[in-house]
Amino acid sequence: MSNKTIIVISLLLIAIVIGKWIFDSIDYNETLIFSREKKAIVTKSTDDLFGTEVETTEWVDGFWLGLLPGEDKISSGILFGVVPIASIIAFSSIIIIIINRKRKQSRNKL
Amino acid sequence: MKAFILFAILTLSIQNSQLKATDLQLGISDERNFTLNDKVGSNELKFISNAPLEDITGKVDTRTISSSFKINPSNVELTSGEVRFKVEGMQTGINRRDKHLQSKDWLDAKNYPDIVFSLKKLDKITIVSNDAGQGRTVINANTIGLFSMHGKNKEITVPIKLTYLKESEATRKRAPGDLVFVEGNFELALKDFDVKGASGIVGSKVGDVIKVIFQLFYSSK
Repeated sequence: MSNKTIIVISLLLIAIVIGKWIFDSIDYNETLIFSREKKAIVTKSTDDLFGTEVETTEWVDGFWLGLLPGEDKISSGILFGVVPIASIIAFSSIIIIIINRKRKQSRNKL
Repeated sequence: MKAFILFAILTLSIQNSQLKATDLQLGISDERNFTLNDKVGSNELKFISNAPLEDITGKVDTRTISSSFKINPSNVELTSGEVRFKVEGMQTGINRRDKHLQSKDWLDAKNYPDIVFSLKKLDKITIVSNDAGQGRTVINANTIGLFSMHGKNKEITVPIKLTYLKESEATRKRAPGDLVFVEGNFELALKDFDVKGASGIVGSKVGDVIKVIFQLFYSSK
């Protein structure tokens, strides 16, 4: 695989992660700094007996991607954020590119 | 003589303010005990932090809230009671943050497991509407009481709207006895309760002031 292809794939993967973050932020109604495991669903209704508007809030379990992980302890959860995922992709690409270059150089020497 | 008249006016005005008794005009003259009841309505206790880096909206698990109060509908000023909830019941949508909230740096749930508002009296009561035929009165008032959090106490004033419903066929469908709905909001400064948090977090990721919004439903039996 050429270095150009690796860079394109990496950028594409990072774009997908950023797209997922934008989508989740829109869904969550908030720019998500930290990844979330719960979402508050607020329902407004009129209580006829009391003659007033009331709110009901319920937590819905799920996963919404933030820029940073919702976890800070050493666990798999520490990777679930745009910044760590994008960093891993970028870091892996750089490593692969370096290995490719070294291979090329050693081939050229031969 | 002037001094005597001034003293008399002052004494009378003080007595008058102490004797002021707001009547909900529902024909109830005895004191009644109310307790929080989920069957009457959906109880809500939310807290909101607005900070430059993040806005947090949290909710207290209603299973960890307990509350009761005494009210004499013919003398509402003398109302007293308590709202109590567990620090462990505070949820923010991120489990990690919930755990941080309970930690020693923040609310220290281990040493101070409960947050309590002890209501001493009601003040500045105004009747918003009264329908004696329907057995329904709505008032606005200031609740004055002691807020206890993180081992610190502070007297605070919380404006509320209270709706009192006298027991009827319609109310009995939800719960027996008279029903009361209380709603309002207020703000708390974290520094008043010595909540410092992790270094540099208050003021950047967590607001200096936390807004509390509540709607609580009670029944008298």
